Formats: sequence, structure tokens, C-alpha cells
Amino acid sequence: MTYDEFREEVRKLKEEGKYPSLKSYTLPALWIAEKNFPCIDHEVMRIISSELGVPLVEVEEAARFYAMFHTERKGKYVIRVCTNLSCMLNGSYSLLEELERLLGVKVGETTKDGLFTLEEYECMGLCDGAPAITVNEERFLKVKKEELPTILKKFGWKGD
Amino acid sequence: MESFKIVIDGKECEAFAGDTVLEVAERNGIVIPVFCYHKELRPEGACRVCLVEVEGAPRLVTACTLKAMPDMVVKTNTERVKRARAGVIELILNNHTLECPICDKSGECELQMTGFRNGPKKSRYREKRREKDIVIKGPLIEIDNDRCILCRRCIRMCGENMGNRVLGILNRGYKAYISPFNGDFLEGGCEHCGSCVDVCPVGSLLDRAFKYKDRPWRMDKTWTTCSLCGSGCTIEVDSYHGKVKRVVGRIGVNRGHNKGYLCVRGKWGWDIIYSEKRLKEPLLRQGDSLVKVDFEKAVEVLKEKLEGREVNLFLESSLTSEELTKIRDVFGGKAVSDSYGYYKLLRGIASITGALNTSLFSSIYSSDVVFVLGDFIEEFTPVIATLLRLAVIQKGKRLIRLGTFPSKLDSVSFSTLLVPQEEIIDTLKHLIVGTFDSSYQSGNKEIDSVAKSLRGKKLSFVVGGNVPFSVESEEIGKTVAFLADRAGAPLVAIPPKANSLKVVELFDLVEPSNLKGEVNVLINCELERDFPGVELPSADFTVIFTPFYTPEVSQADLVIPIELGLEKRGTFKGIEGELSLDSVLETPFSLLEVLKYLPSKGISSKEKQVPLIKEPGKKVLHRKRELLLTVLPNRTGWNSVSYYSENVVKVSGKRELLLNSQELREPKLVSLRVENKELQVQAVPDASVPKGHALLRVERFTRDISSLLRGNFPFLSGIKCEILEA
Amino acid sequence: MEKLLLRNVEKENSHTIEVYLKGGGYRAFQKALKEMSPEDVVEEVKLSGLRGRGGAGFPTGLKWEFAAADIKEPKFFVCNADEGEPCTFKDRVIIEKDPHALIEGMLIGAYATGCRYGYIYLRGEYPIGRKILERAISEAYQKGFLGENILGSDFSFDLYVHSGAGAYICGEETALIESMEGKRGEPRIKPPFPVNAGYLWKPTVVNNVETLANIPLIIERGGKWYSQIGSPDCPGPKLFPVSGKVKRPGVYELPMGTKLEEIIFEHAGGIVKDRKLKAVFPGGASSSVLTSEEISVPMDFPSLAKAGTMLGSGAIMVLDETDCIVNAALRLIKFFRHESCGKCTPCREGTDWLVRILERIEGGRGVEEDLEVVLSVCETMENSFCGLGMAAHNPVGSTVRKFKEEYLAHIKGGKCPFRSS
Repeated sequence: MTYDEFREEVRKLKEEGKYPSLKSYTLPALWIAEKNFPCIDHEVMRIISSELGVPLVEVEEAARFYAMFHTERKGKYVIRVCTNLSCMLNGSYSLLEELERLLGVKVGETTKDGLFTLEEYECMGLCDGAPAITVNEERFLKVKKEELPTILKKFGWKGD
Repeated sequence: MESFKIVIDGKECEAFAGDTVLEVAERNGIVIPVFCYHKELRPEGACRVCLVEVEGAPRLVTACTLKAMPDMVVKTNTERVKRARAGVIELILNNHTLECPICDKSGECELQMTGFRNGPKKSRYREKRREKDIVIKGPLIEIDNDRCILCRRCIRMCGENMGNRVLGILNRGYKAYISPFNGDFLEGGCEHCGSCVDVCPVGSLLDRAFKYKDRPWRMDKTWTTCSLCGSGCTIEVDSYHGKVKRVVGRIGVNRGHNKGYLCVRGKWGWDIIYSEKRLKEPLLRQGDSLVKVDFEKAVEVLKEKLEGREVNLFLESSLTSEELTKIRDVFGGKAVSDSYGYYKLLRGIASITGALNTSLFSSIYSSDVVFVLGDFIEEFTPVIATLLRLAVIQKGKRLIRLGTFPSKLDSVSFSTLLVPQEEIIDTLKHLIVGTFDSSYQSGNKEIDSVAKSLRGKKLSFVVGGNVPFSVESEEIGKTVAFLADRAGAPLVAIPPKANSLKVVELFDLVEPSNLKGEVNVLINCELERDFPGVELPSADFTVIFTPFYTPEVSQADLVIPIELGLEKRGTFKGIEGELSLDSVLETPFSLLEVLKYLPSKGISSKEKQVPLIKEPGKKVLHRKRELLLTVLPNRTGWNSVSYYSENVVKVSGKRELLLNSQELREPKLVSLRVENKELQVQAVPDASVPKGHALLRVERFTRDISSLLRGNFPFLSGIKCEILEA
Repeated sequence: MEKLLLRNVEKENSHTIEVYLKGGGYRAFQKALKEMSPEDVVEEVKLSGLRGRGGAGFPTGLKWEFAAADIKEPKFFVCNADEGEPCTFKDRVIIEKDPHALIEGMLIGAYATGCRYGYIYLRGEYPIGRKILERAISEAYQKGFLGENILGSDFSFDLYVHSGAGAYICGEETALIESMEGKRGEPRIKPPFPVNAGYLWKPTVVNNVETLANIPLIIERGGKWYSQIGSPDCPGPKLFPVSGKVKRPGVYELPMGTKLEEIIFEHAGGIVKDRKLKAVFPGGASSSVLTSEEISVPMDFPSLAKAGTMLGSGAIMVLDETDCIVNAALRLIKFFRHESCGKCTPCREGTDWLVRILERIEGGRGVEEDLEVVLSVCETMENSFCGLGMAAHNPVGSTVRKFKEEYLAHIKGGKCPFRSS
């Protein structure tokens, strides 16, 4: 998405008339950016600020507050491994280690080809399927270590 | 207001509805420690150090957020409270950097004091200190996040009290830190009022000009009045061995009407004292050049040249009342002054009230609705704009503003009437009728609705900003005074300069063309800045009293150095009555000292009489196809502060011509034409500039600006102009 | 027991309006709209004794009464679907399997309180739920249950989904409102409460998903009927998400007051590999731990409070004898450190200190005095700004008190006894 297209999207958002106050469109606008840019950069924030009349720093505050927003470059697919209690008790840390090994990155890093970002994540409400991971919006439950390569391949992983 | 009793630590205390327990305790001398609380700020309840025990409440409660209720019983010093406080302070201290020896705040740090009084006596922290190595350096302000205790006073000050919201908090939890957008103060719109630095309880927000310069406990602290505009702010000047180290406002402690709020000029403009352009010795013309002479020689020449000659007196209005009195005594009462436009405004007002004077600024606090007339109050007198904003958000006043250009004040105003400049007087006249006659219809709904919100209310009026510089200043003065008079309301006319009121009181102000003397005497002036469009009259001799090497120095025959405001003792006649100046600085030269050697003219003072007319003013502006030009000196350049201050120049504005974005689509170079004079200038479209108007922002009144304005003195606003392709 | 809240979830395409209508859906709303005044609805909900299912257990009818009494306009009705409490996934089941029950509950609530606009604040981690809810809302618009002059009445209500973006603190109602306003999700000072000054400082009702799913049942069958289910002072059906070391993790609907032991061993199938139960967090990550001797407690607000813990979201997290309690507490306090907004000192600093101490103990570098320090930090955290910080220390403080021997074993042994290396 180009910045101009993004500005257009934010304008469309405003026209939806969903909120009585422009500042409430900040999160929806940030979501559009999160989904369409490698990261929410300062130019994106400037556009949101000028379209919504929200002070620049308030947009940056919001972008930096919420865990799902990336203000640093992320991969095409964000792999979130839940390691909260139920997932941890069911072996999520070994999944995380295995993913680090397979992808050749540490937690929080993005693969060189820009395909995957590996994240340790808090509870995603999938505890009946512990250990759970998600790749972008797709979820994988009761994941076993051996299944990880298959999951990765689904998203274009070239390793073996 | 009805009061009730609450009991704090066994003491019966009087409380009023809306009071917090902390406020009641403070009034009764009961000290409750605080970090995030500041009496000028909205309570946050974040630091949790002001915890108290309330009878009947299971949990401890923060005194800063707890509203006092009748018969409430509060304890502030039980073991439980002390343990909780110490626990909170321990949490703050665990990771706090021990940079006290090199921290600017040391000695006046609230964490030091509160930690000393209420903190744990021994550290139990076994972990490695968590460093937060995020230092954000702005041109004048620096944020050292390693020292920050995240009380957020700075954010509330910047966002709520100042209405800027430059500072914010990024990340969350223990990783949170304070920053402007993208770490850039300027892009975020920082106005460098310095209020964030002032309220920071620790050494996190720093005044870069003061960093590593001195220790708070050993400096001389002098309360004086800032001379850099008509706001008349009380400031604390900190100096060591006669050298100024910084200026602080002490928000909440300061007893002046500015309550400690400052602007970039007051906070950082002090270094004009140490400007390289500062004049240190008298200069006397010898042939084509000026040579240094001693004072005795200078005085001798001066006496000789003045003997029996009439002077053309040019007077700048930030001289003290004592100096002005002496000047009048020595040079006579006729003068050209930069307060001429303000004088016209006051003359208009006096034609209704009979007095060439203003009401005290504090009179607005006893009204319910404050009617503000004028644009750019935040540029000319920034702190007045701050006080107007605070009157709304802290005291619940309703603010109604009439002007032409949008203002930051509009975000808190109850309503804002923006009309073209040529309609200001007509609009006021509609209000004169509509405010007192509910059946009146002006034909404009907005005006009628404003009239309705004035009707039957306790009103006060404030006129300022660019009004004294408007071609209609006198007529506006009459009209607004007529309205105020009918409403029985005080009218505050904000003086543009520190002692404009005294200049108007003491001198017969005249048009420059009326000066026919043989000796030019310029005191504290810069011709282009103070009298744009005015040429120095030809005279036998020109003497300039000035603190700086100004552009006119080259035209002078004699130049005599004088002091700056911070170096003076004396008084101003200000917006809040007599304001006093004090100083511990010593200078080798003094205006009063020189004037002592000159003979007195012995003119007696007489009360100035302005004929009472009791009629609203008449409209002067009739616009056809031309644009109306307003020349607006940037806040940093006003009074030349950024010409001489190395601090202020770092955040100085630029010159640009702003035009309505429908009248100008793209930025481009244009030729701005006033009568037969032209100026090439970069024009920028700006949605906030109304159609039919042109706003020329200038940092400095240079020769070309002065030429453009030739013949318009004292006006800077409402000047007919045209835009031609460059 | 008859399935009430989960009555629809087993049905095929349970998320569609056709299936919902076939099962009697939107009947309660029509009854409320056509046969009852808003006051009647509030009275009925008060009579039911329903208490909020989000964690605090505030009486729903009372909250509605306050909102209805406020005259400021417009009013907003917000569903708190920011289900972020670790190991809680009960709301997800309703959102994904029975979204219309939630919408119907909101409609009834909005009618009763006079709210014009509604928002479902859905956690960002539920993208599937978002799609389902948005589809359900558009179905409801098509059938005329949402929009202007609903079913020919003068009641109008528009409903939207507002996506969160990963912040547990936004489950706190004032933080949720700040977040809806586009800001950092930080809690506000109370009072004023949202019912009087919430979203855009207008009256705002904030109810949890599960709470709202109860509403159609109460209106359809009556508050009196509802009040007789489960514990008398805290009635109704309750969803219990059970996870951790149980054989059948999942959401179980049981009457309030069902014994914890029964839920774990009868419904969730007992402990994996028939190991011994070691410890249970009975009400999400912010509840205090219960030992195997304490699990006969009835699962309702007052009984759990008496047992020194809390019902919270009702999420039951089960640890077996092979699990390290220090590591479990460490993981939970790490969660709170990550989720602390940073506004107040005790929560921001306390969570970090506790993490650091527990990391040392788990790593075999603890000292005995650490335990005393931990307990005093927990006490200081009680003075936090909002519920997050006030409860965040519970898993740590309670495990130090109840499993002190295990902590000491780490400290004295210089390593975690549950780790092989």
C-alpha cells in the first residue's frame, strides 16, 4: 500500500460514521496500517494524525502501546507462540525453541527472507488447544514439535 | 460556599465541596508526600505515594484523588500508611540512577526530599539496576529517561494546561518512557514554554542551557519581572557570582499573576545579557568611524550637543518607570514610541471610560464569561494566552473570542466568532445591541448565539494580541469599551510591551512626521523593529542609548550602552498594577546614571485628558478586491529576543507568507505589494488563514520589511495589499 | 443440568441468524421491546440476581439502573469482549458459536438503559471472532433487529465491533473506554464511573460477553426462575474454562457454586496420566492458588472470597505434581509485567521486581530473605491504581505462602528441583 492509498483508506474509514468522535478511528486506522505495511512508521502516524486531528504523539503512543501493532519491520507472517501457563505446562517452550532452530532466528526476530517473524506471545484464549500457535490469523492447536515444519511449509517456508 | 468538617490526624479541618483530602490537608499544614500530584495539574493518582487511611475504607486511598466528604476521618501517619509509602518509594528508588552529583535537579529534587522523609532507610534490591538509556535531546529541552519516575506531570502540563500535547508516553509497563513524537520536539509543535521542565519533580526534563552549569543550592535567587513583553511575568533569576545561570518560573510557587508560567522568551531569553552584540563602551563618531570613549567623555559630548536644542525622542517601552520619568524630565514629554498603537487603543477606550488605563488582568477571575478580542495573543503575550486557557480549564470560566484568525485558545473557548477583519467593528456593534435586547436579530446566527451567551452574565473583556497594531485600534477600542461599559464589565487592554502603560501615561506620543528637532535620541530602540516603516529624521546629531550593536549604530554620532531588564531595579506599570524589578547583577553602565548628569527640563506632570464621547467607533476598513495584510512577528523574534539570544535562536521561526489554501494552491515565490512597495517572499497555503487575508510571519524586522511598511507606522495589521506573481 | 448458555453451540452453523431464530432467538428481545417497559427490564434483571461475569461480580441490574437514570445523551452500550485473562476462553466460545445471543443481550440492555449506540470491544487476538460477529451484526441489521426504529418501535440502536490490539489492561472498563477513544489503554480515576461518564464522558454501560449472554434467558424465562439456579446469593449458570493438566480441557457450563473438585475430576476428566493434583488457580491468573486440600470449595464469588482467592473469570488452571510452582508463578507474573500499562508505580515496578526475584529463585540463585521481600512487594502492590496491579501479585504471594517449602527447596538446593539439569 502506498501512503496516498493509506490516506484514502483512512478517509473512507471516517465516512463510515461508526464513531461520534474522530479520535476513535485511531485504532481502526492503525489496524489498516498494521495489515498493509511492513510496519507502522512515522509517516503512517503523520497521516493518521492529520486526517483525524489527533496530536502526533498520541498516535505514536497508541501505536506503541498495543502488542499487536508493529512499529518495527515485521515479516509477511507473524508466528505467535503462546507460552502462558496452560500452553507452557503443555510444552510451548519446546515449540518456541524448535521454531528458533528451524527458522534460524531468535524470538522477536524476522527471518532474512522477510517471511516470518517469531514472537513469544501472551494467552490468546486457545487454552483448550494448548499448546497453541497462530500464524497471522490462522490458529494451530495442540501443536506437536514434529508438526512445525508442515505448518511452516504452508506459508512458503523453504527449509526442511 | 458552604463548608463542612473532616478530621485529618485528629485535627478538625474545614473543607468545601469538590476539595480533595490532599488540598484540605495542605491548607491545614498537614504534609502528605506527593510525586505525580501538582497543584496546577489535574490529579492523576498514578504514583501512589500520597496514600492515606480512611476510616471505613478497606484499602488505602490516594489523598490526591479522594474527594473530601462530611465527617470523613483520615489518618496520614499510621504505621500502615508509612509502610505503604516507603514501599512505593522503594519501588521508585530500586532502579533510580544515582547520578545526584551530576544531576541538575540535585538539591531541589522532590525524590531526594520525599525519599529522605518517607523512604526506606535501607535498600533490599539485589537485582542489577535496570537502565533506561533513552535520552531525547531537543534544541532547548532534554529528556533523560533514566531519571524519570513516570509521574506524567510533564505530559499533563504540556497537553492539558498548555494545550500542546507535544510530550507523550511510549511503550508500556516498566519499559515506558517520555518522548515527543519521533523524538522531535519541533515536529511535535513544542513552543518551548519550559513548563514541563518546571514541573518535573526529578532531573529528567532538563533545561539544556543550564545543564551542568551550576548547583541549585548555591545560586542567588532573585524574583523580578520579565521585560520581554506586556505579560509582566514574575520570574526567578538564578545567578552565581553575578552571572545568570537560568530563569525559572516555579509554577505553583510563584506569587505573580503568571503563577510561574513562562514562555520561550522569559525562560530562555536571559542570555541576551551575554550576547556578543552587547555594547560595552560608549562610542563617538570621529569622521567615518565610531571610536570607543569613556563615560565622562560621552556625557560631556551629550551635554554639549543637547544644549538648547530640541530632540526627536524615540522610545521603546520596556524601560522602567523610573527611567521613563527621568527621560521625560531630561528630554521632554514628546516622543515617538512603539506603544503608539496601544495608545490609540487606550485613547479609544478612554473616550468611553475617561481614563487612559486598563483594568487589572485579575478582574477576569471575578466574571463568569471572558470576552476576548484579538488574534495572536499567544504570539505577542504568550503567558496571557496561557492564563486565559487556565481560566477556562481550572476556574471554569467561559471564554468567547472574537477575531479573524484561528487561535489555540479556540480549543477551550465556549464559542469563537471568526469574521473578516473589516467586519470586527460591525460585529461588536451587533453585540452591543444583541447582548441587551433578546429580540434583536443581527442576521447572523453565530453572532446572535454569542449575544445570547453574554446576556445577563457577569462579563469581563480582554483586548490584546494584534489589536493595538490594527489600523482600527482606536475605533475598536471605542467600540469594545462601549460594550464593556454597557455591561458594567472590566476591560483589560493587554499592553504589548512591558511598560507600555507608563509610556502612555507619561508621554505625549506623536507621529514620527511631527518630529522636527535637531538631535535624534533613541532609547532602547531598534528602528526597524520598533518603528517599521519609519526613517530616522535628518538631524544634526544622533545619540543612541542601546544595550546592543543595533543596525542604527552605524548612523549614530554617539552611542551609549545601557542595561537590560534583568540588570535593573525599578518598576513597571503592568497589567496587574505595579510590578517590580530586582537584580543582583552589576553593570559598568546605567541609563539612569548617565541621565543624572543631564539638566532637567523641569516640566510638570499633568493628568492627560481624553474627551468623553461615549459612542462606539466607526469602521475604518472597507475592502474591495485587495487582501488585508497582517505582519506578525514570531514569538521568538518579538522584541528581538532571537536576534541576541543564542538559546532562543535555536527554535526561532521563519519568514513566510500564509495565504488561504483556496486562494493559493501550491507554495511558491510571490511578490507582496503594499501601495507601491514590493517584497519577494515565499507564500504557503494555509487553511487557517481566512479568505481575503494575508499573514506575513516574520522572525526579524529587516530593512525590506520596514520598506514594505513605509508610512504605515504604527500599524501591522489591516494593511491593504496585493499578491503578484513573482 | 440443562444447557443454557451453551444451548446453541453444538448446533451446526450455530453462528447464523437462521439457526439462532429457529432455536427461539430474539424472542426475548421482542418480548422486552413489545411487552415490557425499560424499567420492567431493569427490574427483571435485578430480580434475577445476575452478577457480572467479567470478574468483579457487580450486580448487572444495578449497573443498568444507574445508567438508565442518567440523563446525558447519547448513551453507549459496550460489550467487553477483551477476554485477556490467561487461560480464559469462555467468551470466545459464545462469540464464535452463539454471537446472536450476545447481540440480543446487548439489544435488551440498550433498550433498558436508553443507549443509542453499541460497541463490542473485541480483543485483537480474536480475528475469527471478529468476522463472525461482523457477519452476525449485518444479519441482525437485515432482519431489522438493529438500526433505526427497530421492529417499528421508537427504539433505535446501532452496533459495531471495535478491535483491540493486544492489551490485557483494556479488559478494565475505563481502560477499555480510553482505548475506544483511540488512546493508550490506561485506567481512569473512578469516580466518575462509566455509567455516568464513560466513552466521550457520556453514560456508558460496560458488560462482559457472558453476562450479556444470560440476558435473553432472564427475559424469556423470568428473573425469578434465574435466581433459583445455583448459589442463592450469586445465582445463574456459569461458564468454567478449564485448562492445564486436565484430561479434557474445555468450557463447562455448570451452576454457580459447583464444587471445584467436581469440575476438575468429573467434568474435565481428572488429571492427565492420573497424576496427583498439585495446585489450582481457580479464577484466572490473578487469583490466589488453591492446594489439593482446598478444592472442595464451591465456585462462586462469596465462597472463593472466603477461601482467600476469587472467582474472577472462572478460568480454572490445573497443575499436577510434576509442575514447578515457582515456574508457574514466574510465568504468570511475567504476564502481568508485560501487560502493566505503566501508569502507577506499584504495578509497573512491583511486577518487574517480582519477576526478577522469581527468576533468580527459579535459576537457583535465590536467598531466603527473598521470600520476605516478595511478600512485602505484594503488599505494596495492593495499593495499585486499578484491579490489574491489585491482583497481579496474587499468584506469587499465594504460592510463596502455600508452597514455601518448594521455594525453599529451590533456594537451598541452588536449582529448580523439577529441572533435570
